Order: sequence, then C-alpha cells, then structure tokens
Amino acid sequence: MSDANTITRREALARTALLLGGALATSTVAGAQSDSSWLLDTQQWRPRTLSPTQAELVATLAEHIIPATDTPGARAAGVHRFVDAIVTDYYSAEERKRFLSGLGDIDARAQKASGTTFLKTTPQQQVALLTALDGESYPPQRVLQKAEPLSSERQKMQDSLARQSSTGVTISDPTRAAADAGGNETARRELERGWFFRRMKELTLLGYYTSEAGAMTELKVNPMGVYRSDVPYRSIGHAWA
Amino acid sequence: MTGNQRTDYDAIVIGSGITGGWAAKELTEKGLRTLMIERGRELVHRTDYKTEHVPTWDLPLRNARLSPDKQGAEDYQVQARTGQFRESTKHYFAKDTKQPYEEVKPFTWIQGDQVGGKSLIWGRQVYRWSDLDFEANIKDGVAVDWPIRYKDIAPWYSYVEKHVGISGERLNLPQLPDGEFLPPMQMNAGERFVKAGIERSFKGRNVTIGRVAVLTANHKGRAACHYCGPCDRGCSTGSYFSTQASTLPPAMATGRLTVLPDTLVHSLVYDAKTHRVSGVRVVDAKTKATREYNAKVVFLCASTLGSTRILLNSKSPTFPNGIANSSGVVGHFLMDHHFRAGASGRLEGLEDHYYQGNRPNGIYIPRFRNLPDPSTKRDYIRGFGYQGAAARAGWGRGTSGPGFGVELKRRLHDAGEWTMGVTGFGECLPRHENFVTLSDKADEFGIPNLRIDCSWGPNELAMRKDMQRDAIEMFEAAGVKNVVGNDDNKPGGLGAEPGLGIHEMGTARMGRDPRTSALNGWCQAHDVPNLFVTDGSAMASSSCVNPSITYMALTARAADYAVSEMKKRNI
Repeated sequence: MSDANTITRREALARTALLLGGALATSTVAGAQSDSSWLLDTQQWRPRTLSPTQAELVATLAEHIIPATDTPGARAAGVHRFVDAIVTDYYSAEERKRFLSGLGDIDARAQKASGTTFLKTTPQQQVALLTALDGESYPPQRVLQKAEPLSSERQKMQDSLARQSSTGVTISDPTRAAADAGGNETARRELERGWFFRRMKELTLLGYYTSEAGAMTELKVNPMGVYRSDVPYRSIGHAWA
Repeated sequence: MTGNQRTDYDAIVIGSGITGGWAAKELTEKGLRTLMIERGRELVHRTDYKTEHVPTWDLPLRNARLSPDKQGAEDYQVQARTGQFRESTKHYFAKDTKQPYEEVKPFTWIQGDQVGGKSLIWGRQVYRWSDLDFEANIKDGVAVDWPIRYKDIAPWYSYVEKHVGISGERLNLPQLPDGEFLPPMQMNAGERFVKAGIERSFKGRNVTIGRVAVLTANHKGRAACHYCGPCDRGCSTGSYFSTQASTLPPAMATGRLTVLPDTLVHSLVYDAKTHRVSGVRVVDAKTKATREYNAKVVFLCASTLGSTRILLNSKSPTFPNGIANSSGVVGHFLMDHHFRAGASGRLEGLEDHYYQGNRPNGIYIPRFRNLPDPSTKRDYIRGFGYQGAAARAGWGRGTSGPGFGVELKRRLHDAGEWTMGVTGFGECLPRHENFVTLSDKADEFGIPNLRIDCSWGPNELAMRKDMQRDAIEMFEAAGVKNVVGNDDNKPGGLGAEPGLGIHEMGTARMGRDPRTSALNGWCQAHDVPNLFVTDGSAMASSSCVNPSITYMALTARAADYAVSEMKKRNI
C-alpha cells in the first residue's frame, strides 16, 4: 500500500530532526581506519555530476560558510566532493535538478548585482551576496512553526531516542515538510525562496563536520573507551563532532 | 551447504535470531544433534561487520539515512521507513523486493535477513514482565488467560540473564521485577536533573537508567562495552547480546550444531499417523532446489510473522488451515508496541556539564498507570513506559537559522543547549481483527506472501493521549523549559504505524484451552506435540516493556521441557 505523501512528510521531518539535533554526533572511532589521502588530492578527483565550474562554485560557497581559520575550512575538507557524491548517489533526479538549478541562480544573482558570474566577483561582493541570501532564507520562527508542526527538540528526540540508536546524519528539507504539511501557503512560499541556500548550508555543515578535518581537527570525535557521564564542560571545551 | 550432508537430526531450529540462537544453544547443550535453518546469508562474527568502527568520513554518504525517496533505498521501500536503516546498516536488512507482503493498512514489517537475524540490530532494552502482565487478560476479560505466571518464568529469566549479561539498576518495583544485573550505566547531568524533578513531584514514579543487554563488565569471555556508539553495525568484542556473540559459540562448541544458511522453509510436514511433524520442506535460496529435513522435534523461531507464515503454509488434510491451527487463532491477535508519543524540552543551568563516550542506552520510566493502586486508574486499560535521553546540541543546530562564516564556525565549536526527550512505549491489546493470512500471491520461491491487516484500536489511541500529556506534565513539573508534546500517529498513514516498534507478536498465542489457543504454556503446539513455537508469536498479550528477554526465557524453558519430554518418550 502506498501513502507517498505521508511517507514523505514523515521522512522529511525525521531528516530535519537529525540535522537539528545535537545527539547525532558521529561517535565513530577516533583515527581508526582513517584515510585522508583523498582530502587534498585535487588532481585525481573529477566531479561526476557537477561540472568543474559548478564544483568550484560549490567549493567557494562552502568555504564562505565554513572558512579556514586556525583549522581547515570547507574546501580543504573536501566538502565539494561530498556534495558531488550526495547529488550523484543520493538525491532523486528531481532533487538533483533543483540543486543544480539553485547553483545557476547564484550566478544569475551575481550577474544582476555585479555583471559577472559569482566566481568572477570579488570576495567582498561574494560575501555581500551571501549575506543577502542568508538573510532571506531563514523566515521568522513563527513562519517555520506553521510550516513544520514539529519542534526541533521533538524531532531530535524521535530519532535519537526512539530506538536508542546513536549515529547518523541526514539532510533536512523544511520546504517539503511545509508543502506536505499542506497548510500555510505563505510559509510554503517563504521556504521555497530560501531552499537552495539552506540546502547548501546544510550540505556544507554536514560535509564539513563529518569530514576528518571537521571531526578531528576543528572538533573532536567523541572518543570510545569509557563513558564518563558528567565531566566539566570547560575540561573539554568544544562540542563532540 | 552441499547436497550430501545428512538430513536426519534430533532437532531442527528454524531461524537464527534471538530465539533461534537460544533454542540451538539449549538443545545442543542437552545433547541433541541440531540443524539450524536460516533463510538469509551466512554472517561471520567480526569478519562480516564491515562498517564497524569505520569513521564517518570513510562512508561515501556519511552514513546517510536511506529513506524511501533516496537512492540506495530502491529495494527497501518498507525497511527504509525505520530510522535504523542507514548507509552503515543497510546490509543487515532484508530486501522488500525479495520478501514482499501485502499491507492492507499501514504496517511496517522490518526483517533481518542473515544468520543472527535481528539480534544484530535490536534495541537491546531488556525488561522482565510481571504478574501485572501475565494476569492482565484474565482480570480485564480480554482475549485468553496466560497459562503461565511470573513464578513459572522467573527462574528462566535469571537463567538467560546470567548468560546474556544485562546492566541495570535494581528498583524493587512489583510491576518491573529486578533481574540479574551487571553494574548500571550512568545518567548524564541532564537526565539526573529531570530524574530529580520528576521523582520530587510525583510519588511512585521512577526515572532509571535503561536496562540493556550491553556489558558494563567483562562477562563470560565477552569484553565490556567500549562505548563506540553504534551497536547496530555489529560488535567485534561481543559486548551486546547477539546470536553471533552469545548463543552460537556455545552451540557450536558442542559439536552438535549444523547451520544451514540461504535456506527458506516452505512448510512443515505433518504425519497424521504419529500426530507429529516429521520433517521440514526447504528451498535453497540460491538454486531454488527443494529438499526435506527430518527431526524428532522442531523449534519454530523464525520471527513472529515468519513463523506464522510457515504455520499457515503447512497445510494437510488434518490441518487445512495450517498446522497447529485447529483453533483457527494462528495469524490473529497481532500486536506491536505503539510509540512515538511523548514530549521534549530544553534544560537550563547545566552549561558546565558535558559527557564523554557514546553510551548505547537511555533512561527508562517504568509504568505508573493502571497499577493496583486505585489512584493510578485511567479510562483505558494497561499502561506504558517511557524511554528517552538528554543530550547537548551539536553542530547540526547551525542549520536551523541564519549565520555563516567565521562567526558560525566559532559558534558551532561549542556544545549547544541541553535538551531532553522521552517517548512512550504502550501496551497493545490482542484483537482478533488484527490478523495476517496467506495472500494468493507467492514470492519467487513459491511461498505465499503474507497479507497483513492491522491497526491501532481505541484503547491504544486513548492511551496515547496520556503518553503525551503525562510526559508534558512531568517535564514541566521537573523544570524543563519550552516543553513540547508530540504524537506521530496518523490514522491510515505512516508515522507511528503498527510494526514500526519492531515488537510484533501474538499470532500463535499460548493459552490453556486448545480451542482458543495454538500453544500450551510450554510453547508446545496443542495439536502437534513435537512442534514448539518460541518467538513472539507465542505471546497472549504484549505488556508495555520490550519483549526480547521474555522470548529468550520462554525459549530456554521450552527447550528444557522438550528434552525432558523426549527422555520420557512423550515426544
């Protein structure tokens, strides 16, 4: 029996849950079987779905979202490769098309604002454009709540607790949640508008913090060995990846 | 296995999951030459846990949830409904395209398909039933009375618990008897905060650490948990109970066990002259060749719905509606626990608290509704318990609002706020109208598919209101902020549909009267003395607690009885 709409909504919400939740920490083994050979080896790698220009655009956007500081940024962590893998091997055809079209919109906005493609604008112009996009992609909480009847806490609970299973990461889709929730048209339109940037940011955070650089250099994977139920936060000083 | 192996055994065990493993261990240790038949592939302890300890960055999709609309879930449209179905665990689930069923109303049938079955991916929560459960049917006038009571099973709980290794806290509660416990795991600061608040505000309610089949100390040659986190990828140190880690090694050590993977059971052969099962008809999953194996006693441990399908498909002139089904109850009274109703919220004042390590366990709030105390009575019968946890938000929170660049990266470097959530697990009543039958369609091996017709009834729906309301009330009293309730059930849709709890049971129930039950109090078929069914199908009611330890205890008890009956030549 099929109940596609309901499945979709449920899955969309569950996905949102995972991303918003803190308990999705990877809890993999620190250092075990690590293979960083692919990380910076840009000469060997060729995108499978993205064009080389699109891959460069993704890498540039990602680096703006999570830049290199005293730790590596998104580009060094290979987020563009992860995005190419997700778009190729995980997205449905419809989702893939929508994402690629979103990349095109970035260039269209750059053309409108600066008369050239995003990659050819100055870093300052890029930041200005992304600041505008970021500002319009996250509607006020009340709009989101209408679109998404589940709170983030609730969603988090669903996945991390219901089965006591601990790991995993997924990608949210509040736009679809809104569409499936059927209700509020204004909320749906608001969410449609920011879909690409929200998605790009999610993929960047996901790709970055689950990479070796993000999970081992910027943060730390919660180590295995013992369980310490209550340790002073200042003795750790960072979130577990 | 090749074609020249023997076909005569003392015992045949069908299925290799939680109960099949126990049946094999007990029967071989008692001297029986035993054949264990498994429809799925061989899966070797350690060697075949191919995603164990693999860092997220070495998984191409970073351990993505493979939901039905994503690539990678094409052959798993039902399995992909559970959040456990991920890039890292996909290989432990059956392909729905291989094992289809008809879903009259939404019912999610999660199936493991390998040696070890779902023992590799189970939730590991372990709670004893009590006489509140075993006496419930007779007291409520629902379905049929259990033919056993707590005193009958208590020694068998102890017996299996001592082997399994269960960590937990003793509470001395009549509705949730204590077991043979290893040291309990510890609650984190958030959970302790909520525990204190709830226990201060509500007399008779307890918040305890989950009782879990994960070792907190070295136990019988298996190492204590190393807290890596995702048990369901497989555990090389055998720190949680699985067939591979816990029951297969002692069974193999007897030298009396033969394991036959990639072999589907088509049906049981009934000998009307002896009134016994004389053999088991199987189909080779690879070649589709058919064959028959014979034994003096058969243990059916193929999972509730798997076993029921075999019973219904074992037709003969004596049993036109399936073997051991003169009562007509086989396939009926399907139950599952209903969950995904509860509450969550934020915790304040714990900013200098964190935790280290990945505890594969949460907290448990034992049943507090409809106990003997009249003040606990409600407008529905039976009850529910809660499972949950507290945790601090991680980098994922960065996706929920604006911000990017150095500011965002700095912000996400720190742990986020504490949140706490619980979901109820509620008892489901046995109802005749929740049932499975054989479909007129068959799978590629010629075995008729199941047709499943099951939905929640008024008692479950009434209970869900309390599951949400009580959670909100307790959280608010405990000082949790921004408390939000939830109930994912969507009548006729997916969200908290039957089956999703993966505690399906009841379709070949025990009872005192052969006219209204399939099995006696020993899990022995009333109609067929050498046939035992010891998985979830034997259950006459569902309790509200996780059932696996009860299946284990019933299996060990049944094996002991079967062998004593064989010695007396009654079988």
